[in-house]
Amino acid sequence: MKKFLVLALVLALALVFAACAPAPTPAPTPAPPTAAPAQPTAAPAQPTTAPAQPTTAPTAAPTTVPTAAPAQAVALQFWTAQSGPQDTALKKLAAQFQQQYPNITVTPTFQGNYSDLYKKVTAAIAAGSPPDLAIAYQNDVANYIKSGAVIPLDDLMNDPKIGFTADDMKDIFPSFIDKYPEFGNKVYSLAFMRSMQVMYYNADMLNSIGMTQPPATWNDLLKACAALVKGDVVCYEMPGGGDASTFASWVFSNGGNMISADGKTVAFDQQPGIDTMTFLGNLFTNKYAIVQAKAYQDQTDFSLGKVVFTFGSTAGLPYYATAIKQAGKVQNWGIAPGPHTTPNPVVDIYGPSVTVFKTTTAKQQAAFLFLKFLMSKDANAQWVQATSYFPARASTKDALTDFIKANPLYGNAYGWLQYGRGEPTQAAWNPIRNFIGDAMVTVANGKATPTDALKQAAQKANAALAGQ
Amino acid sequence: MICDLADEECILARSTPVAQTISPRTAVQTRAIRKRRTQWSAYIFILPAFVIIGIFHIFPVFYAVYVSLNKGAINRFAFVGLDQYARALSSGDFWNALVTTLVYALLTMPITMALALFFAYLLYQPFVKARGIFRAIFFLPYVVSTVGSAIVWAWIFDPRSGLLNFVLTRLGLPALRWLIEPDGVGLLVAQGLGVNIPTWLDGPSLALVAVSIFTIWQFMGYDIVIFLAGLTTIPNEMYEAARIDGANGFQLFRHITIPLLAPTTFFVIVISVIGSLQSFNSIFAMNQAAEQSLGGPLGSTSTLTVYMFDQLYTYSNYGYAAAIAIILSCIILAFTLFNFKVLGKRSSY
Repeated sequence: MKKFLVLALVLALALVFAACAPAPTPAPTPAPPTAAPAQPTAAPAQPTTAPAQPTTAPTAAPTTVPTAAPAQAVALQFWTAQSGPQDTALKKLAAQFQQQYPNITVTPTFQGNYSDLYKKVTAAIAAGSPPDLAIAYQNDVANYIKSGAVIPLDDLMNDPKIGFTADDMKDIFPSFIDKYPEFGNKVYSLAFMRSMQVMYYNADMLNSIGMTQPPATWNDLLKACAALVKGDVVCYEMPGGGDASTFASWVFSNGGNMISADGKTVAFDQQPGIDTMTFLGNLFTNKYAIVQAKAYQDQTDFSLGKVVFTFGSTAGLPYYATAIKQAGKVQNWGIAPGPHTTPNPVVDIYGPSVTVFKTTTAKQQAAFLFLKFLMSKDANAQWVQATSYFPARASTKDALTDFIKANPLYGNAYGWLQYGRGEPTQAAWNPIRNFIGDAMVTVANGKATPTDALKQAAQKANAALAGQ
Repeated sequence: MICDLADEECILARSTPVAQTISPRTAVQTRAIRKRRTQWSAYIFILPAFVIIGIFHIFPVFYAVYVSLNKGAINRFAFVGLDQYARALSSGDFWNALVTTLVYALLTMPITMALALFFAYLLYQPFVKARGIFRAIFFLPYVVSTVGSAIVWAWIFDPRSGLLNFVLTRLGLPALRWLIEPDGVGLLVAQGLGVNIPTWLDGPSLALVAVSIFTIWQFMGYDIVIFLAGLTTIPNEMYEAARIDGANGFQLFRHITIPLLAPTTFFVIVISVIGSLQSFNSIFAMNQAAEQSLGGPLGSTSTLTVYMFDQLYTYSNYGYAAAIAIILSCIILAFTLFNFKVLGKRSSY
């Protein structure tokens, strides 16, 4: 009996330890014998030999014909923040990729929103088992770089076998290639999607006061607000935590910058920033604006005709269209770049990128190949049509003719890509966005003057940039 | 044959039935070995639990202490000694978060307990029928998903279309901004009355009060169940004897229920103090549901746990966040020891 009990205990212990052990990868992923594994703290070494050709020919012709793939089976874990239709679209693309590279299996896994994804990746880095590639905002990538968890992609991009060609580099928009000034200006992430901060406007309301075009200047916008705000109709609804992207796009539109040229101090506390914050303060002082008290309230209220202008991502276009159709209160609406004092409009272009984690050389190469596939014309066109994001390549537009015809607002926004500016990629930019948001809420609540609120935000931001 | 004390085989051989004549000294040794064997099997039995507790409870504590002595990116820590603790204790944000934590505890704990005791006493009365149904109704908020209920409460508190403001405006009172209001309730009342008050009378923000209302609603059911269990342990004879002596309802409650419920009350106090100081889910969920930044508006709902979470995930200050966690643990430990020292003695009858 005692022996039986002891045996049972030993088995139980074995089960406990087995449960604690890391899960096996779905397929063996040994490093190529000729390529040295990357050192944990150093940049990955260039492979000494090119990986072998794929075992079967690709079934669909991508923009760049695959020239190399790992000889052995490689299974990649791709962590994403894409759910619902976006998740479906990504999985479809992963399946198409596997048709081209039968020995590479990519498993996109939805990990929650971007914040959840960042937490999970951070925990996985701490546990020593990060994914092979993950979607991430540039500031999050910068934190991964600090942890030594991700690899620079420059060598892979320039690799004659698997890298981008000169034509590819001409075709890809520069804003989709993320260089990190903090880390030797190397490329640590690439994007296959971007969106744009734009102004949504209720054309019915503007027409009612004789405005046939959306306001192109800040004064025009204030005039529209003065004429239209009454009852439960407001001019603008600010998210409860402020909105750093809207603030950035307004600063750009006032001819300002968010950060200094050397990236060491912020620049949003200069005159264009003060003008922007003063404008925001005026909206609240005149009771043209309110603070949102629930998620997507601005979208809902826009569809109900309760708010004249909202500022948001072009990725929200399908959601706005659905909400407006369901509510049936607004007949004519549109999007436009925000008002501006600059000769041309300026729009904030942003969006997540994909970063490759330090694993084996074979996996890193396979991950890059998948990333390159996502940025290819055909795959990118499929993704755009499923999500309304902007593509990484200029040539993708050729494949979007019908889509643009069916979605003229998207087509308009596509035309403004030339006016795009991006937000900084510094690791500290994530907390800095919070400081900006806090400054906006402070001004909205009348707790400080625009100048003081910005000064306080800039002080904290500069300390964060200095690594304090 | 004389065995060495370390030679177990020899001793075992001596303890077999073959050896009919066992000296008193050998019998003692045999018992010691059996005891030792029994102890070993006991250790083996508790080993799985020990391993699980060790890995998931004890190790993280030591790891948190280790992280709190470092700074830098994850996996790239640099030892800084007690700097993170010094940084916390000299940070205005940390002290604001500590004050908010204590205010939040004071707002939620006494009211939750008082309401729970009231409803538990009411439910315990013989005239209350379907007691089980009421108990389930009161307990329901405790088991419902915090995120789900937070969304419903965010709608109740919504300034534009919420239920509370609908009622307030129908009563001729001004609509309030609830979860997005950073101003103190004292200040709002003073503004409503048209009087000026000193800043220290501003009180907690309306947002914190709104979150506290949600917390009270959520946790009252748990306390009711505990109090109901405590009430059933009070012998009926006590009440009968007191009634014969002419005690009225209030006297029964004051002189029988309250004293005899003291051990239960003590338990609820200890659990509530720990729970309120650790509270995170309800604040986080309400912040999210009301589209506020974490601890918003303007940091008025930023308790220590929220501040710690923010430092960890927004600012990637791993060492600093770990130091806050350790300080918070020490504060909770101090409160718990105080409760045991001061209230523990008074709770035994």
